[in-house]
Amino acid sequence: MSEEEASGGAALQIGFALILGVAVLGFFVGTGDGEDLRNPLVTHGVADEEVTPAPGAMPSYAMIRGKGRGQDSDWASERKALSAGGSGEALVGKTAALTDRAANRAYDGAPPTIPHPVRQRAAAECLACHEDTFSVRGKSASAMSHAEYASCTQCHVVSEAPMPGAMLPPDATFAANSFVGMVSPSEGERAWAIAPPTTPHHTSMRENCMSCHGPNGRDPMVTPHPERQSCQQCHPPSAGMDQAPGGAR
Amino acid sequence: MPVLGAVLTLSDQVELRSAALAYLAGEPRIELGIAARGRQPIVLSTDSRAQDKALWRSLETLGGITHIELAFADFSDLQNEETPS
Amino acid sequence: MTIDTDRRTFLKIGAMAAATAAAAGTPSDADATGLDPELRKRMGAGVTWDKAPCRFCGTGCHVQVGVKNDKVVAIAGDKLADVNKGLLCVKGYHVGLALYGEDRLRQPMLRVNGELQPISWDKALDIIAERVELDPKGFAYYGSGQWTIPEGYAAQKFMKGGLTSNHIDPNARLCMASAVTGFLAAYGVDEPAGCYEDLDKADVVIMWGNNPAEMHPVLFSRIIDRRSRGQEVTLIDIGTRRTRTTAHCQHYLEFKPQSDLAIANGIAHLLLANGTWDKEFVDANCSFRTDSEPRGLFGDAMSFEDYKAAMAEYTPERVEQISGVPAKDIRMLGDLFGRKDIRITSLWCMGMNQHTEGTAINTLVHGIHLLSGHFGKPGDAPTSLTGQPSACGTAREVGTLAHLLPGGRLVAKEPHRKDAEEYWNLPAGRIDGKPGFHTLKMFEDWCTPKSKGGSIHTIWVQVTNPGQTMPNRNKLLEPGVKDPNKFMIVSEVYPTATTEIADLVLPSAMWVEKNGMFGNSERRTQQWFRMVKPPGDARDDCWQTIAVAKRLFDRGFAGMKDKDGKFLFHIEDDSGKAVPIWNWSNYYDVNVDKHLFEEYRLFSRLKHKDLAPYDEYVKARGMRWPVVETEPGVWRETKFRFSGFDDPYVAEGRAIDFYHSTTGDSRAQIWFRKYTDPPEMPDAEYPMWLCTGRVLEHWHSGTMTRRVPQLARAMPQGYVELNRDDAAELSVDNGEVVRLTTRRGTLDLPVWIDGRGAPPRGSVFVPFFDERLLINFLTLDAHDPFSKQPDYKKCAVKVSKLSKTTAGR
Repeated sequence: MSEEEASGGAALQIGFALILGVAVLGFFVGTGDGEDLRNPLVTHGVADEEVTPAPGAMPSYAMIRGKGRGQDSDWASERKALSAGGSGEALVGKTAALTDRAANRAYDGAPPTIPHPVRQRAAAECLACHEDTFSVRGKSASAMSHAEYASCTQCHVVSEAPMPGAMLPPDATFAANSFVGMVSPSEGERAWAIAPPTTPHHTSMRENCMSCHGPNGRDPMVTPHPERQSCQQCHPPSAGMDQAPGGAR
Repeated sequence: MPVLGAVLTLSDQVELRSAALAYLAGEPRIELGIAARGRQPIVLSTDSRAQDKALWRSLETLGGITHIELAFADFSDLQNEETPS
Repeated sequence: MTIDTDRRTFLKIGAMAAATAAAAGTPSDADATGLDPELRKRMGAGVTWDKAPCRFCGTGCHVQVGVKNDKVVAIAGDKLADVNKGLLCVKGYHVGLALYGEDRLRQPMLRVNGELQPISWDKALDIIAERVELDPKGFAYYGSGQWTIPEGYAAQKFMKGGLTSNHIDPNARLCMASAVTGFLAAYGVDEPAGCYEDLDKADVVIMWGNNPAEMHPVLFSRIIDRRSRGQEVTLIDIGTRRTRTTAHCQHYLEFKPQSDLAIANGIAHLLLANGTWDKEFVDANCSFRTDSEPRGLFGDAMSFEDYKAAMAEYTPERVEQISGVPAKDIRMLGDLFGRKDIRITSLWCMGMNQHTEGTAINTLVHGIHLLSGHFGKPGDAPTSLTGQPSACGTAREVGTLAHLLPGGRLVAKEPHRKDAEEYWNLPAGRIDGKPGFHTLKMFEDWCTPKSKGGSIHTIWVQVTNPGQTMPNRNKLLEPGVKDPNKFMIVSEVYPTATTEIADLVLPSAMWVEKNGMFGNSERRTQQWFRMVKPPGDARDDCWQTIAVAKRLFDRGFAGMKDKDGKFLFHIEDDSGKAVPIWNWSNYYDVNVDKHLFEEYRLFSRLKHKDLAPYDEYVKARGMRWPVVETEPGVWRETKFRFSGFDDPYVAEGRAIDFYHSTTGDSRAQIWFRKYTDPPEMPDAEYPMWLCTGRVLEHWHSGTMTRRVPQLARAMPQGYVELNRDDAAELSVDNGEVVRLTTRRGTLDLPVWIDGRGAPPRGSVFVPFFDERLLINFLTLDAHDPFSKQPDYKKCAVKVSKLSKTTAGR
């Protein structure tokens, strides 16, 4: 080996060591920072480790997390417009969703009427779309909210006359019915501000929560945490109507 | 100077609730907004991070306030700030 | 360090906006501001729930009724109910709405110059009393299998104990009478021996001309849902047209109307020919019977040899000839019944009951179960399904028929009359021993002028709609309607085809607007309490009867006094003080239902249909009789009657005991009855069969269900089911209006091809729920010789094409 080669090799080795060192250092620096992400109650912006970047400098990830959600001018004006409007977007949507749901249910808990024609003597065809949720072009066929029963049309009838032919003029007094059906509260009760809400409706025939609250449900009713599978672990049903002892006779 | 917007959930016990509101009203660095359904929006406006933290802590320990949520935080006017202790 | 003040202010504004929006936008409790205030009022808080049996069919599901502010606001299936275990059908889910049609009757009305005018209850009671006094023997009561038990009992006591009149008959005469005579002829006592648990255990379920997918949906689900749990159940539909039930069955045996008689005989024939009949069971428990000359309900004894000889004719080929069912399918049935390793349940309803040989076919189906030994074990049962919620509990058990007394007694039997006179504390001889008029006769007589011998001048109708449901209405109603000397009193909840012809209309309380009790298809007596008030001045049917009785008592009518001069419906509270229950404002001072039921209970022992004390039914979701007290305060129901393992009245050591045997020897009767043609069959002039029946959405004459929007929209109108090929031959399109004509009447109806049901060629089907398209102007009033039940299922009709498009008459 020539002297030149040897010194070049040494420089290379030192270079590698330096890179390695920096890498290792960087690794530790990188993983050492940041707030405790496992504590959900730590609201952003009040972490102890928060630092601010020098003006014009790129903030580190730690800084971004710790910084909290600041606003830019666009967001500020949006917020003002929203608050000027009064109620939040979510509530308007929820009312619309509940009203829409109620349109084909006589009361909360009634079997919905079928908004499309069905074969009158069919047996199990309903399951083709309603066993799991089925969405096409913005319309959803919700999954059955209850366990499978073999005779779907025993409880679910069509919303519109199934037979052909001109209808007799409807009787003036017929089908005028003053029944006003119960609706469930739009939100469950919470023990404290961000506690999981109780289920505000009885769960008879609604054992499959995901039928309405799953990803294909009506927008504001969709669960923000679909990854959690055991709904009733946190969202208990209402004893009053679930015939718990001491509840309904 | 940190500016924070927060939402307070106040106790439903009348004495605690009034005491908390009295404190909030008396604190010059806190501005009270219009309460909606028992939830009280406030703005905390302090001169330093340390003050801001201290004020927040005092709210956390106040008997009539059962919960605080942060809705807004801006630290953009803080410059050359030391890391708080 | 200072900050630009403007910027700070700006930030603070932003902070406040954010916080305010967050405060308003995050839900924190159940108070939902921003929700429509009307919607908020209807929320579930403040709803109280209580149990009740459903108002509709004989299945007898229990519902939970949600009530808020004196209104029914929701219904749910009762999970604690053994019958339905939380499931309902579409009618049950909407039963709460039946109370709220806007034309509820609220005021008594009298027809004056053709128009109904409001009158007071006081006046109405006087009018009824006057009609009774006119001639008590000419006053008739037409009641119902939808009567609560106390309502029927009050009417029964009023008529038979008060008026000494046996002219009281229920609409169950049009529905279950042949099932009753079938039971009596076979077992000596009415009502099924098995219960709904048979449906859970059967390997094979045979439908004999009924459509339970639509008519007893919850029971049908109970069977077919077993398949979802991996169980195998073979369903066989023996029917005259394809229905929703057929879709769930493995086998469909299409038979010509009336030939069910031949099919049953065909099965018996094969059991004998193959030697697969249950010799041991028959030797121990059965005898053979055949028609006497002249025919009588209990017939003559028959030897086994003669039975076998009589059945020889019914080979599979001969049965195919008569019925159109392929011989191989008859053999399949014969093989199934011949097997010992499976359990077979037969189900039937109107196909077998609304039959001019209804008693016969009922006894034949009982017969093949007895002959094959498919009886008395869970899953082995010939099960007659009841249509109405209390045809069993009221009409049959309370005995509101022209020839019966409570508890299975007969007016014709002196010891039975003595029992009733004792329980009712009546002077000896108060009860008439001569049976009164059965329904068809009652109406026929009412339609006959007095000058021509028509003795019935007044009929009081409660809880039923003969204006729509009497067959051959041109004969059995119109003449009476037109006769000014005839009078009809109708206790109703809505304007119906009957109130339209009534002279006096009484507004009545409905379902959970009153206390009540029903008895369902499996001998289960069920109870409920009043939950909401009736509208306007509507009052309980039971009160109406008692109030009329008191009015007569006050006017000196001797019949309303018992042996000691006390009012027939004298009721005391716990302290022994008499309660004036005939005053409507005092009616609920006591529980009249309880008092009447406790009196009625006494009758139930004779035929071992023991009923428990009223309070037991308050606690339970019904109990199946006989209910016996095993220890003080502990009441045990009976699931399987006549079976030694369950029925406490079975003699010691016996596996099966028919302890009401007509031959007095613990044996049931296996009948031979031959196939005969029905009285009216298609011919050249009227070439097709007309069958009538129901659909899922509508309960009977639709007076309740057509006022429920969800049900009315799903099935808004009557129609005629026509076979596709017949339609092509007639050049009739789907939806086109055609004219149906029988010897009795005419009706124009729109055609529905391949709709809810599909009749075979040469046959049409019309549902009877639509009062605007009243098919009973066309139906036949020929009836079974023993039960007097008319046959709505088969008569001859011609179908003709029309050019006009409006349906109607």
